[in-house]
Amino acid sequence: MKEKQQNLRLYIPVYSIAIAIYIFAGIIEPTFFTWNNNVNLFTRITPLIFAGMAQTFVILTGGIDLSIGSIIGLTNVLAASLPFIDKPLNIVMWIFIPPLVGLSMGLINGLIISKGGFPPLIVTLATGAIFQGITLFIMPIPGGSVSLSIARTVTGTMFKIPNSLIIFLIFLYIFHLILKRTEFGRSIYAIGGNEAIAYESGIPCSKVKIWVYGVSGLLGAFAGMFLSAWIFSADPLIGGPYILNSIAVAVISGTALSGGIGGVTGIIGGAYIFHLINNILNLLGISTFYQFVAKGLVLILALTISSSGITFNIRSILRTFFLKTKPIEKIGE
Amino acid sequence: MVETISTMTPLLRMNEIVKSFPGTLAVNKVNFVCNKGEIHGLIGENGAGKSTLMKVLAGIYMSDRGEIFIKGEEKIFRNYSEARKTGIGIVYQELSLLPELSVAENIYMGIWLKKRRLINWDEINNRSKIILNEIGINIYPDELVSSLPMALRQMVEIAKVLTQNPEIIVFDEPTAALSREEVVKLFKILKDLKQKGKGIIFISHRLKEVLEISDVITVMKDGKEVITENASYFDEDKIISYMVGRKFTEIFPEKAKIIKKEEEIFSFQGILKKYQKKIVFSVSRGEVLGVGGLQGQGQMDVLKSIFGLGGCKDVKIEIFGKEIKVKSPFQAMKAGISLIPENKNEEGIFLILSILENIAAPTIDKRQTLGLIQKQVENKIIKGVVEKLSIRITSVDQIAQSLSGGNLQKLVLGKWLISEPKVIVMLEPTKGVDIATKQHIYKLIRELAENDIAVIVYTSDMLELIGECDRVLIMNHGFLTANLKENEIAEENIMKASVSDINLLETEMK
Repeated sequence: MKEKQQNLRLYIPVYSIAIAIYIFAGIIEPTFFTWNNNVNLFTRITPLIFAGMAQTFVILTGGIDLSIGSIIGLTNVLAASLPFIDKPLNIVMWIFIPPLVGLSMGLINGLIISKGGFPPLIVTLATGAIFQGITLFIMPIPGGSVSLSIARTVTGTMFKIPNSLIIFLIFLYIFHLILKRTEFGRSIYAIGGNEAIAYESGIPCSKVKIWVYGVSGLLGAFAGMFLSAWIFSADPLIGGPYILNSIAVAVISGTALSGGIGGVTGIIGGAYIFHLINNILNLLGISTFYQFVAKGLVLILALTISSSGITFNIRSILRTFFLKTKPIEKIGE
Repeated sequence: MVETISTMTPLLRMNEIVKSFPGTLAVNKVNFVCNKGEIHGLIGENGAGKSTLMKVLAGIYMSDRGEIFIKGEEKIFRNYSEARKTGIGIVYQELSLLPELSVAENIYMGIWLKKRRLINWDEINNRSKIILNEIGINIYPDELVSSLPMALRQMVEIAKVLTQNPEIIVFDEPTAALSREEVVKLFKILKDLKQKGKGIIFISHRLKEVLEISDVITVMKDGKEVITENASYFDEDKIISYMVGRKFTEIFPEKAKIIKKEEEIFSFQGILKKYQKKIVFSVSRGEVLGVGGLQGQGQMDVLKSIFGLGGCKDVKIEIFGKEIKVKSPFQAMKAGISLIPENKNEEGIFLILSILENIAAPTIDKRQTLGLIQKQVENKIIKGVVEKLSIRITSVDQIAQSLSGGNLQKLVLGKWLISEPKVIVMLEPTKGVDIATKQHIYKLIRELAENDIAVIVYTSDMLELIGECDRVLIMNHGFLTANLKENEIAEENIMKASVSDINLLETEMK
C-alpha cells in the first residue's frame, strides 16, 4: 500500500459519513440546505475544528491533552476581559494576548511531560484543573465583552462567504503543511510511530514534544478567541465539552490514538459529523438524555466504520463500480 | 596478514574495551580492528558480547574503559548521532523502521532534504529510488513499509544506513529473516561496499554464511575475544569449538527410528484463501514435520490457521482421528493445539511481566480451585519447566524483558509445554538464537515427537529442515510442491521445489 492510498483509506470514510448525515439532516428538515443555515454551521463548527486540530497534533505523538478545555476556557475569558473596548489597542491585545497565554500553557504541559517523563494523561488532567481554577478566579460567572469590530469580522461574511470558513480553511491548510512538509511535522509522526527509533534517527524528541503541546495550547487559544467573538462575551465553563469532543473529532477524522497515523485533513468531516448529530437529534425533538445515548451510539458506529476493515471494502466497492478493475485483496501475513 | 596490516592505519581500532552491566562483565578488554575494504565476521554465542561491543562502537553504550580510534584518531561517542556523523552505520538485528511511514521517509528520517524550509518529497523519493536501485531492489519509495515483506524491510533498513554514506557498517544479524536467495542478494551488496573501500562488520549466527563472506573472523566468548584470524583458517567445526569451548560432533539429535505411517495423529485440510488452493497434510506418530520454502508462500497462513488464526477457510482438523472445530486460538488451546509464534517479542511474550506470569498465563485455569490460583502448585510446576529448559535466570519473578534472546525463546517454549499440548506448531523456533540454545531446542523438539505429540516446524533454515525433520513439505505460491522423506531431504531437492515453476503439481499429499 502506498502513502496516498493510506490517506484515502483514512479520509474517505469520514467524509462519506459526514455527507450521508448531512443529506439525512436535509431530508428531515429541508431548510437545512439553505445557505444561511450553512453559514451558521460553518461558524458553529469552527471552535470544534480548532480544538480537534489541537488534539490531533498531540495524539499523533502518542499523547493526549485533557487540559485543552481549560485552555479554551481561560483564553476565552481573557479575550473578553481586555480593557479599552472598541479601541484599536483592545483589538491588538485581543490578537496577541490569548495566543501567547495559550501557547505558554501548552509549553508548560510539554515541559512537565517531556522533562519529567510523566504520562500526558495525568499531567494534562492536573494542569487542566489548575488552568480552570485560574479561569474561575478571573471570571467566576459568564460576562465580559469584546470589540464589536472583532465580532463582526470573525463571524461576518464576505461576498456571502462566511469568514469563519475562510479562517478555518487557512489554518487547516497551514497546519496540514506543517504536518506533511516540515521537519517538525514529520518528527511528530516518527515519535508517534516509535519514539526510540525516532531518537536513534537523530530526532530531538523532547523538544518536539514540548512544542507539540505548545501548538495544542495555541490552537486551543484560537478556539477560545473565536468563541469570545462569536458569543460576544465569555463563559469560564465554555471549554468543558471540548475535552472529549476534541478527542472524538480527532479519532473520527482518522487519527489513531496510539499515534503515528492520521492528520488534520479529515477534521472538517469529523467536526461536521459531531455537530450534525446534535443538530439532527434536536430537529427530531429527542429529549436531552436520549440525545446523549444516541450521540454515543452514532460515535461508536462512526468509529467502527473508520477503522480499517470496512474502509477497505468501501474502496473496493468504489473500484468495482467506477473503475471496473479487480479489487485489491488485503494480504495478511 | 596481521603483520602486513599493522603497518598501515586501520579504519577502526577498538582498544581494550571494557563494558560492564550490573552483575555481568559484558565486554572484557576486547581489541578489535577493521580495515578498509574488509568484511570482518564477528561470531559468538548469545551473550558473548558481540552486540554490546557494537553498541559501544555506535555510542549507544559508553564503555567503562578503552579507546576507539577511527583512522587513527581517538573518538568518544556519547550517542548514536555522534557516531553516525563520524561515519558509523548499523543495520540492526531488530528493524528500526516505522511501518506506517513510507519507504522513502524511513530512509531519510532525521536527515530530511529541504527546499525553502519545506521538506522536498520529490527529491527524497527520487534519491531513495536511486539508493534502492543501487542495492538492487525495485520497490516504490512511496510504498508503506508495513506492506513490505520482512526481507524487503531488511533491504530498506540497509538503504537507510547507506544514505549516511558511512565508512564502517555493522550488519547485526542481517540474514536472520532472509531466505537463501535473498542472502545471495545481500552478499552482493556487501561485496560492492567492500569494493568501495568500506569497512564491514558482519554478525551472524549462521556460520556458513560468515565463512562464505568474511575476509577476517573474530570469535568472542564470554565477553572476551578468543581468536582473530583470516577466514581461510577456519571451518565450521573450528569456529564452533572456539565459540563454545567444546567440540560438537552432532548438532541435531538422532531422527525417529520408526514412524508408523498409518497412525496419523494429526491431519489438516483447508483452502488457502490467498491462493484458493486446497492444502492437505498429516503428521504420523513420532514424526517431526518440517515446512519450508521461500518466505511468504502461504506457509504462515496455513500453519496459523491450525491455531484458529484465519488464512484458510473450510478448515478440517483431526487430532487422533477425532474431528475438532477450531475457529479461534481459545478453541485451539482447548483442543490441545499450541502455536509458538515467529516474532517472540511481539506475539509470544509479555515483556513487562515476570517469568512466572509468562509461563503461567496460558494454563492458568488448570490450577485454580474455587476461582483462586494455587500459587504453590504454580511455583512448583514453573520451576520444573525452567529447570528442564535450563533457562538462565536469577528468580522466577524476574521480568521477561531482562532475558537474552535465547532464553526468551526457551521461555516461550516453556509456556506452551506445561499446557501439555497434543499438537505444537513452531514458527522459526531458532531464529536469532545461539548454537547451544539451538541444540537444546532440537533435542526438545525430538522429545516432544517421541512423546506422541504432533510437531510441525516452519523454518527458513535449510540445515534445520535437513537435520531435524523426518518429513519436509515445501510450499511455493500456495502449492505444496514437495513432500520429502528420509534421504530425499537434501539441499537440491528443497531448493528445486522452492523455486520451480508450479503448473501441474499435485496439491494433495500425505
